[in-house]
Amino acid sequence: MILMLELTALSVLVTYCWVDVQSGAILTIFNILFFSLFSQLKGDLCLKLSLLVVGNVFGLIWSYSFHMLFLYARTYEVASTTTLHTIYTILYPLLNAFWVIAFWSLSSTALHSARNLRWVTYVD
Amino acid sequence: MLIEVVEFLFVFLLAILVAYLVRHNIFTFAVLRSANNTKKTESTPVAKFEPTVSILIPARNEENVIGRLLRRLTELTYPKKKLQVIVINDASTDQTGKIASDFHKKYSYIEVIHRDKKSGGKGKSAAMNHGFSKATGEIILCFDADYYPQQDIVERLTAPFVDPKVGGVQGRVVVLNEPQNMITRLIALERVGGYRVDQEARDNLGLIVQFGGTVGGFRRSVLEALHGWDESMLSEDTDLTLRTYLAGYKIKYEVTAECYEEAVDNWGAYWKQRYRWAKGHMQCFYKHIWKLLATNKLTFIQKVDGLLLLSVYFLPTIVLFSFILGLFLLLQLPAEGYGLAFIGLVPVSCYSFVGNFAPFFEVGVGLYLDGRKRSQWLLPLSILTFGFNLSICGLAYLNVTMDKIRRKKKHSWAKTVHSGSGDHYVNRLITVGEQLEQ
Repeated sequence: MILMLELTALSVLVTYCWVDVQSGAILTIFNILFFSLFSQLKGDLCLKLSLLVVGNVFGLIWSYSFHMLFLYARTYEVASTTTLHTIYTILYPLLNAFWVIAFWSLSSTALHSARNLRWVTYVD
Repeated sequence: MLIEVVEFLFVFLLAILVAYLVRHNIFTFAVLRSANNTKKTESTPVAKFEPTVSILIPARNEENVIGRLLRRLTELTYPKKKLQVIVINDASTDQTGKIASDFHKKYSYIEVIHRDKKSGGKGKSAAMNHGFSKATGEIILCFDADYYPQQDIVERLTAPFVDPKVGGVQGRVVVLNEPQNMITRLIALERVGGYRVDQEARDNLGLIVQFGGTVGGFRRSVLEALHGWDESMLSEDTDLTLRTYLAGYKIKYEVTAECYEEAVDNWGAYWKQRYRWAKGHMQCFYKHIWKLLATNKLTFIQKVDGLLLLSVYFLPTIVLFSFILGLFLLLQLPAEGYGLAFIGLVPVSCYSFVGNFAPFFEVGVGLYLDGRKRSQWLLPLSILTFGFNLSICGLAYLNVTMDKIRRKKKHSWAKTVHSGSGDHYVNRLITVGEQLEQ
């Protein structure tokens, strides 16, 4: 468990230092939401922590990949630096939010247990 | 100087977005905590409290759906001698009046008010006031014509009125035709966020529970004191909510009182409905904002929540503005300032995906609490409705502002058309309900 928490902290730290502040901030938001809400959901603690670590590592890889893509485009002068920077700064947080939501959906599904079947469940 | 002003505005708008993000995080956390502490919400005992009840059903050209609701109302478990159902046929040009009159012939507790072309067609509030003038019940409940309530809904909705401080009650709305298409599925997600988490959290935390205009009602004496529905308001439900709280009463949310609605099933109808809601909500903001801040009937936290509630339809506009301001700053600031200026885009983007007035985690937790798995996968698609809401709320804001400048007070009521497609799902619902009971 401690190892998992350490891995999470390390992912955030690496993102802040090696990628950029935006990515680090979004990973921090992801962790706050995950910690505060997933801790309340029913399910194995180990599974929750594993999902947290996977989320952080995935976030780090995702951010790093886009950052590299941006650097590559800048190095090979795909467009002017200002244009690239503009596109990157606008799209990047939005793309980041997209993985957060997708990962949240998958994690929630993984934790889901068939319980409290009520009338409203008929559509599923 | 201009840059500083823009920067200040940008930071201010971001602070509002962050405030909403924190608020909804608290809501979601509170509901989860409460769900963990309560074993089963279904086991909530319904108090043996049986006041006389009048159910008002405003109906204008609802021939596709009115029969389904009236048939269902004849199946309610509430004692019929204490029940009065009033259909307000609001100058319909179709068979609505005839269908309602046919029910009246068979069931004495179902009454019909026929409004002619001269007096009718002036909006829901006017029809409700007409119905209210004929109502005799101690409790006044309202249902829209396209709704399909559970059989013991009246017991569940009247139970909170045991508390004399309760002026109104709101039940849960569930989308009936959810599997119909992508729009109905996305609306269902909004409803889950709003009714499974948002409303329940507000109730649990003692904040402002919003009356949704249907699947709920008021104590007769409170409605009389408030002089009924305000006919000049497009969002008469929010208006009534605020007036109830400002009069010193509270509204209770009853999550177990479920009622199915036929959601709009095309983007055109979605636009019309949401545009009316957005405009109406903004009207309410201007009408109540100062009274809300000045009243001594509400606590500080309730005032803050009321302020955020009243401003909720400004949210997509705020996102849009902060995005435009951010773009401006990006182009104006030197290269090293990029990161600093756009760090703000992180909460904006977070909230924008969420942006349909219920953040993704709130909807996700709502789905989790309902025990639904596959619907979680639709969460990222909320971006579609968010894009739509950006334009709707932006236009509504412009419209309301222009109306304020021109001092226009009268507004036209755009009615939502219901196709009756919910019938298929009602049959499915009954089949699954029977299977679950077995």
